[in-house]
Amino acid sequence: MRNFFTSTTCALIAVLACSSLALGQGVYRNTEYDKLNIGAGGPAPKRDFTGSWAGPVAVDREAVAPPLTPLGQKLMSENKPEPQFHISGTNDSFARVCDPLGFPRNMVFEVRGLAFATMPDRIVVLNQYQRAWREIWMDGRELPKNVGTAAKDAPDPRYYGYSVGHWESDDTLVVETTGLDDKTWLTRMGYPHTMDAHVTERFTRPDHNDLHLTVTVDDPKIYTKPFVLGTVNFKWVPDQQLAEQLCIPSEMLQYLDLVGDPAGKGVPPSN
Amino acid sequence: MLNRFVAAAILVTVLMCPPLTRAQTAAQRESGKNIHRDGWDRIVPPAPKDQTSEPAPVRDLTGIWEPTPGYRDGVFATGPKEYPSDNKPEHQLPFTPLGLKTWKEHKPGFGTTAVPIAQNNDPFDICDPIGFPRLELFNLRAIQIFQTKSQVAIIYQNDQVWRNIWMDGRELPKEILEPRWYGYSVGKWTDDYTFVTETVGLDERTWIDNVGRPHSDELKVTETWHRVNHDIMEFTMTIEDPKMYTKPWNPLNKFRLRLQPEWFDIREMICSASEAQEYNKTIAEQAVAEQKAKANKK
Repeated sequence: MRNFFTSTTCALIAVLACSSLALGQGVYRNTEYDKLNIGAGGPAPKRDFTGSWAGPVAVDREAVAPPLTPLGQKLMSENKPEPQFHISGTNDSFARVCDPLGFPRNMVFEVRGLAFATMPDRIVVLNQYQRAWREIWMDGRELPKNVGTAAKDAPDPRYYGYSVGHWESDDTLVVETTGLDDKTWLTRMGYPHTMDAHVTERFTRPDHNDLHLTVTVDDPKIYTKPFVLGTVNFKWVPDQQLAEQLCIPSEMLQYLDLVGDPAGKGVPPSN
Repeated sequence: MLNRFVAAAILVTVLMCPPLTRAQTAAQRESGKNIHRDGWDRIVPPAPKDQTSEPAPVRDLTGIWEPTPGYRDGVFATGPKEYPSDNKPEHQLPFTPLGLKTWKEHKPGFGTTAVPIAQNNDPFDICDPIGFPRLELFNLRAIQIFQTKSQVAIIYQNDQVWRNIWMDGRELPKEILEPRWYGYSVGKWTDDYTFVTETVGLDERTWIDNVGRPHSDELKVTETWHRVNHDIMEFTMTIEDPKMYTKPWNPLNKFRLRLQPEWFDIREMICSASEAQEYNKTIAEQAVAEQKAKANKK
């Protein structure tokens, strides 16, 4: 059986996001990612990201939200982010018990492994973290407009939302997402969102081995203007292997019981 | 906005009846009609009774597949189709003494060994990863298969997870330094329509199925995916684990899946640990209160 210390450490590392690897600008680096000094690798294939990519651990500390609306201020005041309230005092259900990260938090946090699987009319994004996947429809359909309403044909909000995409050019994919479950936060800092939040991802592949992503959030009920949640640079993974990286609730509960909660504010926040 | 009471009520339903998911609220709004909708709430046409179709493409499993004839046929709440936990002699598993002892230590919520929720020790009940092969032996719902030259990837509605199977000729690891919840998998085509995978290195904390059948570090799972024709695939699984079972057994044998329309979006079905905790606490407290009330009456 797996050594308890190892597995607990893995869970703890997941939560603390490799605090020892922190660099400036709030960008948490991944040593494996840093080793990928593989150059540009020639031209990128056209309209194709298929394969596995490595990114930094997290960029979500970079996000600076614009002034909040009154509703936004109210919701924000109810959130107790772990960097301020420590693991014992946070109400971040991901940090406490491994609840789903949800989108778009999963694209700016724990992005050290990502893969794309491509079909003629859709692209599926496979996240290394939590082995979660989401689907981007490329068949021309429109985003649902009534998510979470009582309408007869209204789809339910989802942790990973409803996504459509289109190729803006041979190397640039633009993805629009809405219908996000409002239980999730945008980043570890507790930025809230509504189900009506509109998230735009802009992926650009300038060459074979590089992929750049910018995530922008527009949620006028909460924020007075759109803002960039994060920019992420990915590198092609030469052997295409992604690790199994999971947050395990039972391990987290054990950690909280033994260490996190008894320590109170004695456990340093993850930055 | 989804009414929170409705959401909570649905959660109770979800956890009491795993076949139902949080995301089925839209279908429930259809005045009780049993309408099958995909993740974007589009109505999915019922499967035709006729299961003949065009010939299958060669060495190609790609597409979205669902159990057939009923899309809920893969729920397997009381154990996989060929070996449900029901005390019937033909469904007794070939346990070793250790296998039987370990199974008795597991306290599932379903089957002949089911216990009240307060005594349940099912790791998935607190949303630990469902793991493999339980991923396919409980709540086998929609899946989508992708292929490249070197690997096959499968995404599952069940717990919104994916796994990949290497087909680049590599061998399974001989020494497992780090067991995984979804193991290490390799696969190969044994003929133009049959893809066979082998998986080892599975974390012992997972259960094989929803009724707590155990496995050890020696578990090897073989999956046979046989495409009968364009629309139908048969799925067979073999469990080998000499520490727990005296001989191999087949939890699924030629279990049928049907190819779905290309527009089919797989529903979101994710376990939320915080909601599960809340539910378990509420139900457990209720059960204790009921037990006390009964005792007082006596």
